[in-house]
This record gives sequence, C-alpha cells and structure tokens, in this order.
Amino acid sequence: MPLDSNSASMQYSQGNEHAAIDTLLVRAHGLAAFAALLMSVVFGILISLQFIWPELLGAFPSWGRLRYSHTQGIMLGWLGNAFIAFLYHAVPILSGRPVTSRKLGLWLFGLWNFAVMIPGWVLVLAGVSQPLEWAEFPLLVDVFVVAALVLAGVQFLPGFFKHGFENLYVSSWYIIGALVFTLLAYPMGNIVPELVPGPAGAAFSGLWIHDAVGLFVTPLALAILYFVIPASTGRPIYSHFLSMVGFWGLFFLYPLNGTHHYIFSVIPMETQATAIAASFLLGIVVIIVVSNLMLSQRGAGFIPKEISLRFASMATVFYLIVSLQGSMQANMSLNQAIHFTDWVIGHSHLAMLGFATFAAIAGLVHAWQRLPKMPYNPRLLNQAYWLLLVGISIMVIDLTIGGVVQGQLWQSGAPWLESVRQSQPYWVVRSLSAIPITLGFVLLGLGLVRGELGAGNSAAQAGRLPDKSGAITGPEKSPTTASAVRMSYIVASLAGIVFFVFSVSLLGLLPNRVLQQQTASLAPVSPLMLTASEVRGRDIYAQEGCGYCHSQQVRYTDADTARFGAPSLAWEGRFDYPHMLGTRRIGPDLARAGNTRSTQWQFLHLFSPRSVVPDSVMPSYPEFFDGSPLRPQRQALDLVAYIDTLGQARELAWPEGDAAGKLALPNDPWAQMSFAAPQLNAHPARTRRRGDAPEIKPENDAAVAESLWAQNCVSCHGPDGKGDGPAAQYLAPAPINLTQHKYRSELLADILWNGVYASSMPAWRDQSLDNLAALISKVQNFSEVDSDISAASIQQLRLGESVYQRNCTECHGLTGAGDGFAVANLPVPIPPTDFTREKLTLSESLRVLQDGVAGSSMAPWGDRLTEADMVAVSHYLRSLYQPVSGDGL
Amino acid sequence: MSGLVVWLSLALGIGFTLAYLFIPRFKKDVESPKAIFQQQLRQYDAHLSEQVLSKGNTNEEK
Repeated sequence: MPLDSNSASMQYSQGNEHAAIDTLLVRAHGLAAFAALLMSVVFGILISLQFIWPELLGAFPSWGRLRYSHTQGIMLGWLGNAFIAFLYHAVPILSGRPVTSRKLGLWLFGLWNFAVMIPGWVLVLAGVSQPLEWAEFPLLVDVFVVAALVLAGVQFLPGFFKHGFENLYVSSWYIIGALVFTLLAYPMGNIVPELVPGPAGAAFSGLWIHDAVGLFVTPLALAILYFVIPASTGRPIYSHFLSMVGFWGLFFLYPLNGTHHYIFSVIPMETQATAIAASFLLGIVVIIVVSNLMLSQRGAGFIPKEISLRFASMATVFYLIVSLQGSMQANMSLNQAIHFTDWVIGHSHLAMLGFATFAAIAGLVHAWQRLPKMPYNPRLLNQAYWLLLVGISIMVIDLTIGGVVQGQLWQSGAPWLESVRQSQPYWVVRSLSAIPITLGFVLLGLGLVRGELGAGNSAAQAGRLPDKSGAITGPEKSPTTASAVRMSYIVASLAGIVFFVFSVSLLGLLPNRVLQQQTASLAPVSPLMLTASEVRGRDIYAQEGCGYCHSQQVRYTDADTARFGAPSLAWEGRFDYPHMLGTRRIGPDLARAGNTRSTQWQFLHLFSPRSVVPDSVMPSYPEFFDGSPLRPQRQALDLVAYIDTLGQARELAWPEGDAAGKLALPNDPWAQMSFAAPQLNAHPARTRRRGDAPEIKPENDAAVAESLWAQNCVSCHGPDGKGDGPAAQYLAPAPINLTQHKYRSELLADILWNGVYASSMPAWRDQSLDNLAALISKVQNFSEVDSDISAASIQQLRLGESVYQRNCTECHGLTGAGDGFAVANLPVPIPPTDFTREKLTLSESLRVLQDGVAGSSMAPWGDRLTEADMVAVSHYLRSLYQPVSGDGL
Repeated sequence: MSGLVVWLSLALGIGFTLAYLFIPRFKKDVESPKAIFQQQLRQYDAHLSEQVLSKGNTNEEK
C-alpha cells in the first residue's frame, strides 16, 4: 500500500473554508485497524477452541491472558484505529477545516499503536495486566491511552467550535461527546478500582464497562452511521431533531447504566434501581435513534446496494437488537436467569462485533471509497458482508441459547459440571462461527487492497438516491431562534456533564460511602490480612484471568444462596485492590472457596484439571509445578494459599460475627438477607463432619450409576473402583480400593453427602438423592468383602480384642465405631474408620495395619505388632461389623 | 434518586420537544445542520469527482 507523501493529503475548498483530508493518516489507521482486528480474531479463536480442547496451547500463553488481549485488541486496536481513520476523513468535512496538524497525527498514530497496543499486548501476554473488564491493559499503558485521547481531542475538536453550537451536525456532536467523555471516563474505570476496594471499586468498574461501550464505542459508531447514511444516499437524514434527542438521551443515560452489570450484588439497591431505570429509558431513546436512522435510509431497500450503506444499515439493526437486549437484561427477573452466562457473551459480541464493527466497516469503506487511487473490489466486499452477517448471527444466536441453558441449569441446582457438559455443543458452534467471520474479515481486507484503482468512488456515486428533500434548503437563520437553539444545546451540554457527574456520584461515590458504612459496622475488629504468599497468589489469579471464569461474589439470589452460601458482604472484599467480583461464570463462584477442597486436590486440579474433573474445561497450569503435582513451585503454593483465603475471614468470624452484624444493621435488608442464609458456605463439594445426611436407600440403576461414575468418580477410584484412577497416585490418603471394603448404606450416604472430612473425597450435595442412591448401589457392588471367607479361631479373636483394646480404642473407640476420645484432637482430622459400619477384607486390613494410611492419622503398626497380632486384630475388626438386614448386597 | 434521573431526563426532553413542535423557526434552526452537512458533502464529492474524472487523481498535494 503506497503511503508516499505525494498522496498524503487531499485539499479542497468548502465555501470560504479550506479543508484538507489527511489521506496518509486515514490509510495508516485503517491498515492498523485491520492488523489489530486480525490479531484480535486470532486471540478470540484460540480462546474459543480452548473450550473444546482445553490443552490446545499447552502452558503458555494462558487462556486468561489471551482473553485480556482479545477484548482490548477489539476495543482499542480495531475499533480505536478504525474510528480514528474515519475521523481523519469526516472531521474536515463536518467542520470545514483541516485537523490540527499532520505532526500531531503521527504522534497520535505512534502513541495509539506503539505505546498502547503493542506494549499492551506484550505486557498482558507476559502477565502484567489489570483484572478489570475492558480495562485489562496495565496502568502504565493507561497513561498513554489518556495521553492519546488528549492528543485526539486537540487534533479533531478545534474545528467544530468555529461556527457555533447551533450549526453542528449530529455526527459532530457525537465525536465531541465521545472524545470528551471518554477522556473523563477512562481514568475513572482504569485507575479508581485500584484505589477503592471490593464492591465499591466494582461500582466504578461497572461505570467504565458501560462507558467504554456507551461513551466511546457507541457515539463514534453512531457518528459514522449519521455520516455514512446521508453521504451514501445523497439525502439528508430524516430528522435532525430526533437525532439530537437521541444524542442527549444517550449521553444523559448511558453513564447511569453502569451498575446494571452488578445487579443482585452488595452494591446498594438504590444504585441498582437507578441503573435499571436508566437502562429501560435508554431502550426508549435507542428506538428513537434507530427509527430516525431507518427513516433516513428509506428508498435504499432492505439490503442497500451500496456496500458502506449496507454495512451501516445492518449496524443500525444490530444496534436496535443489542440495545433492547441490554435494557431487558437489566430486568431483575431476566438478569437472575441469564447473568454470568453465555447470553452476556453473545450480547457483548453483538455490540462489539455486530453493531460497532459493522459501523466501523461502514466508515472505513466509505472513507476508502473516497481516497484517490485506492484499489477497491466490490465483489469481495459483498462476499465479506454476507460472511460476516451469517457468522455473527450464528454466534450470537448460539451463545444466547447456550446462555439460557446454562442459566436454567444453575437455577435448578444441577451439578455445576452439568452446565459445562451441556454447553459443549454451543461452544463448538461458536468456534465454527469463527470460520465465516474470519473469512469475512480477510475478504474485507482484500476488497480494500486489491481490485480496480479508484473503483470505490464510482461505486459511491452509483449508490446515491434521488434527493427529494427539497423542503430544507439551507442554513438561513433567525438570530433569535438561532440563539435559542444555541442556548438549548449549551443547557443540554451542561446537563450532559451534570449527568456524568451525577452518574459518578450516584453509581460510584454513593455506593462507596454506603459500603464503607456497612464495612465499618460489620467487619471484624482485627482484620485478617493476606500474607505475602497470599498476596502473590492473588496477583497470579489476576494475571491469569481466573476472574473471567470464576466470579467472587455470592449474589443475593436464592439460587446463589443455595449453591454457594451466604451472599457476599462488602467487608469481605475490603482488601481487594482491585475488586475480583467478575462478570462471567464458566467455573463456579469462588467467594467461599476456602476450606472447600483439600490442598492436594487444588494442586492436582491446577496441574491437570481433567485428572480430577474429567469434563472440566479449565486450562492446566503445569508451569506452576516441577513436573508433578507433588512438587508445586512457588506460583502453585501462592495461588492455592490465596484460594484458601477466599471466604475465610467471615468463616473465622462466624457465627458470632453474623449474630453481631445482624443487630448492628437491622435496617439493611441486603445485609439481613446475607445473615439469614441457611449456610455460610454451602459449596456442595465442601467436606463436612459426619452425621447430618438424608436417608438414602441404594437403588440399582446401572445405567445412571455407570454414567455418574464415569463423570465424577473414575478419576480417583478408577473404572473398577480399585482406587487406581489417574489422580490416585497424587493423593494422600489415596482413594479407597472399594473392592476391599464393604459399607453399610447409611455410612455411604453420609460419605457421599458430607464427603470425608479433611480429605480429597468431596461431598456430592449437588447430585439428586436418586443419583446418590444409584452410586451407593454401585459402590456396594464393587465390594469383594463377602467373598473373603477367612475364618478366625476363638483364640485369634480374643488376641485381636486384646490388641485392639491396648492400641486402637483412642481413635476407633471401645466398640470400633470410630468415636475414640482422641478423635477431636487428631493431627489430621480425617475421621477414623467406623468398623461397625465398614468391613475390610483380611488382606486390606493387614496392609493398612502394616503400612498405615499416608496422609491420615493412621500410623503404620508393622514395627510394633507381630504378624500374629495383626492377623488377630484384623479378624477382630471384621467381627465388629454390624450388617443390616436387606442392606445393599 | 432514580426518580430524579427519570424526571430530569423527561423534563429536558419534553422542553426541547415542545419548543420544536410549537416554534417553527426553532424547528427550522434545529433541522438546518442536516442541510449544511449535505452541502458540505456535496462540495467534497464535487471536488472528488473533479479529481477522479477530470484530472485523473493528479491534484493531490501534501
């Protein structure tokens, strides 16, 4: 692509003004936009493929780092460059003046691409990032983004203020609004959450999540649509009045939407209600905007012939859908069902890849058509349009349906992994939709760099419609009304700034104050600070993007309370700089992850997630280990140390802390709802002490049991229950060889319901009682104990009893029920075997006596007991078993 | 607070709309930027056509 100085700008006269379009900078930003787009699409494809093949990329770069790079690449690299390219074309036409200077433009180009995009990607992929949605580039890069935005303001805005507010066309308003408000909003979303902890920081973060779309992407995309549509049709827009109503409506209301990303969080209800109300109002404003844009295209056909108009037209349709979808999602009933699901991912792709990208393409193609001597291939562009339309439609519909499925399963209380399994077909279709999308982008790029030189201008001329808008002839103005228009625009501008300040106050400062008060009233007097290792673990959690799959907020909903426990209070995140609330759940929430899984399980899960959870899609992190989960390196130790802190502070304060808190804030309904939760930590896999379990009778349903076994048990206990699954070698105590044990049903029900306390055997409370009944039957069927007919003599039993009384009763109790006086003080609190309800084969009993049970308090007795003693005590233990008539086998 | 948002937005919108509906000159002035913009586009396109058709893209300057 030639970028020689001879074709670097195009000057022309506009009335008495001398305008100039800097074609060099249009092309430079246009090409940078496509380069960033292709990179970001590659990141996106790699991310999506890891849902199907989690080990696709091996250890580096991790899924989370690619996810960070994908979103920042799309917003700043692709859309940012595309918008700036368009501004170089549009601003001189709109203002009648050239942009400030070529030199400034080169600085802006350099800053945007060589101080923001490339270093941003490199740093994020190297693990230097911020765990904040749409703000993932690190603070160092944020400084350059702000500097670039200042340069963009100096470059593009001065020309607009020469002729007075009343003459500004709506695209000019959107450009001014976008550059000014993004400059205000960007530091708030990127820096403030680093200074304000937990949910209060999330309130600011939520503002930015919405402002990034509402004050940066949407205004510039709408500026393009309001520019391209009349320019392509050759006719003015339908109504400038409606366009201005839409403009002010958007700028008043968009900033007030932010907290709708955290509905049902601990952020005060008043703030949430404001965001919900603003979201609904915004839907009405969008209908006005879209109606105006649609009416402005009348006569161009449902699928306009001219390609930039066609992209603009489709962008308008996408805008309507995504905006109404956004308003609906703020509805609390729908939000409860679909928040954190792929529905939201579909929504964000519809916004950024549908609406904004189609608008950006419309602007780029429009500008490209008007660059002298540029190649242009309408056939390729036409093909690109259809491929992109089909690809994006498939992706969004697929993710929306997938999100509904996930939400339904979460609401129903089904095991978490069921939602992962059920999502697989939707993730496959999502990845397949990348084929037409990628092809579309490639053809789009080719259509603008290959083809007949100057053909774009002919295509643009051919697309014009007859101008029937004779009623409006020109800018003849009455001084009085012109002054009134000017005044109304000044009032509206001031109101826009007031609304922005209002949004920061209402959605940022107010929640901060309320949450600080709540924290002061409820937090324990002695704060539980993170250790240095835990702080490092938190940094790893952030840099690997764990928060994009695991939220850290138990929402104030019945489904969350039932699955995870008491909703999160503000003080629980008071040391989180920045917050880790999260906006998506692929894995379960981790707000109460501490004390839920054993450390060994955590190491194994990090090293090789599918060795313990066969259907998991979590990336593996073998680089945190020295070749084995038994040899964790510092990263693994730190990360697991951090995970173990999650929810710990409230658990340590419980129940006295909750009781005191309940009295401290009697009029805070949010806090009272949290205190009223039946369980502080309801994580279904959390191990609990024995005793509290429902009555479950074994049900011999072989098909169900086989499926459950393969999905949940085989990785530790092996396919035949011999305790030889792939994870077994890394766990201590090792998984039980179930062929060598026999259990009474109620003990198995207890183990499945409560897990084995302090071991890696989790509870399975998210399974239905029918499933647990099938599993009990399956486990009992593994047992070969009854085929062990070893008989003992009376003398052996007497010797065994004697040995038992001397050595075993401290832990296993006088009757062998595992209730000895030392149980409460065992160094490893795994409950001793209850021999009245569990029977071992003689050989298994001898093995345990000889070797002990590594990882438990059961010591080896081989060096203290004779062979005869061990045989005798084994026979005695077997004799303690008290079978129940009709139980199991 | 949410009520304030709603009512303030509505008040501004209604005020602007009433002025637009009942003051013809105001309406004309509000609508005039779209005509100005169309003129700006035409001037630019005329220049572009002239460049492409008459001078074969040679009148490009730095």
